[in-house]
Amino acid sequence: MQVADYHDIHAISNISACSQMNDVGGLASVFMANRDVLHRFLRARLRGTGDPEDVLQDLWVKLEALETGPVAEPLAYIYRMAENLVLDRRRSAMRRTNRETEWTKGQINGSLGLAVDSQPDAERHLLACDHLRRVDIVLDGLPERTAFAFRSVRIDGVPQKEIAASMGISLSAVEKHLQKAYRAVLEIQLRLDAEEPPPERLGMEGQGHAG
Amino acid sequence: MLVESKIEEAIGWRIRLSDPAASDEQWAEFTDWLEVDPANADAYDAIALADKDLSETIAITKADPQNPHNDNVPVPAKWYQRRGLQVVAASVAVALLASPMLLPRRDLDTYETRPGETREIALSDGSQIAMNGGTRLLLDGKSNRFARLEKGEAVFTIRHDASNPFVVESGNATLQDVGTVFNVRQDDGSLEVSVANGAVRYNPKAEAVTVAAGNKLQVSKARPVPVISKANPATVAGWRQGQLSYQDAPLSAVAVDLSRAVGDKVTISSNLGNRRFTGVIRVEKDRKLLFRRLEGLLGVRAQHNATGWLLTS
Repeated sequence: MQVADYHDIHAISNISACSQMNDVGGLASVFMANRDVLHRFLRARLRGTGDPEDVLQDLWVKLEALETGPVAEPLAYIYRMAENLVLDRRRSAMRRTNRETEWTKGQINGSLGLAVDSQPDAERHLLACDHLRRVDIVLDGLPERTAFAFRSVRIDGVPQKEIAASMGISLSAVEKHLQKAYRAVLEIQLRLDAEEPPPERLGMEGQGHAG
Repeated sequence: MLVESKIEEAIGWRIRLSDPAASDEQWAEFTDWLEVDPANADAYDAIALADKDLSETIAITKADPQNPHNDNVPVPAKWYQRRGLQVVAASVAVALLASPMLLPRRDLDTYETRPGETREIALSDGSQIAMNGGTRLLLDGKSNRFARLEKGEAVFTIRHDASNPFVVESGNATLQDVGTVFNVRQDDGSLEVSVANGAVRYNPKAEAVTVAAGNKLQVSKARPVPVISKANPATVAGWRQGQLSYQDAPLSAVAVDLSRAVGDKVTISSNLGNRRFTGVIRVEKDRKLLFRRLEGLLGVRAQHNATGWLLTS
């Protein structure tokens, strides 16, 4: 099960009575006017693991297919789409590398190695539960306000400004709480990655984890 | 290699850029930061990927394929619900989160359809809301992640974002999407939520019942404990194709749907109150044809009168 990102847009038919909400032209022109800036961002972000032009083209296709209402910060919105595209590419490249490695192992061991591609939902679910359990334990070890800020922002999706107001602290103080929690929580993931043996290089097109 | 000192900066960027309020100036500064040192990009990459994994983990466990909850037993609250509200010091925040009514007033745009009229709303993130007739919906046009269904019926096709879930309020209920196409109807305090795709969480801060695809949840003033039953995902939003599907539904509910679809008030005589219907009604444009067919289908007589249509036995 892959989590859909917002650029997996459902086809939208017959947008009656709200043509004023269709602002695709706006986003497209913002894209064109800032193409160089976005190219620079992508070059810095990809650092040789991919061609910025490829991502820009993907981005353009997504933008064209997008039917959207007015976007408050159109350029920031496009940046975020670009960032998500980069992460998606990174993920699928990593998966491909893992899959190819597993497949090769399977060949060597005489099995077909087919199961890797279709990791059963049950197993995926167990792994996810285990991950959440670890997150839970880590958060419980943090100061309560820190854990509260993290859960509110990351799980409940409350904007940071609202959390700041409700906790009666400044935005940068919220960021400090979040910083601590993110660090603790993401360290689990980084540690998990480190536990797994790195995929064996096969000299194929798979791009490994940068870093 | 991850450089320790860079991790803190990378997390800071991830936090700021994940906030919906992030500006394009911040993204430009972020570009500068990435360019300064290759170790910055490495650190950020690792952090962002780990963070994305966490999003996926949250989404998978929320969708919960192991527990389709085909009964009306509320599921035990998950960790993020159990402890999210325990902070005594942040009592203001507790009030805010526990009761959406106390939130600072959102700027809500009102969308309304007359009976017989439908309307589609496209949101900036690709999500989509289709409103059936006789429906009033309030939408937070700024965040695009909150809607309130005051009355009527709507299908929500929501682009899922685990870090920023879409929330629908209706009556006293709060629904949170877990990656989703779902239909909500609200008639005089009775709520029905049918899920075609993904899952929806009902009252995530209280009962926290997960309604998975192929199920529907019903709750009303008379029956305040939510009941979950089967729903055919293919017919969840059948009204959009002009099809109304029923499984042992009271005729009064059919009449409400018909009113919504045709734009005329459809009432039933009191002696039909206990009659139930299973089947599919095709809503013909031609009303005379529609009601003539209904006579055969429902075993009733349909009369056109001053207020609309009256179905009698």
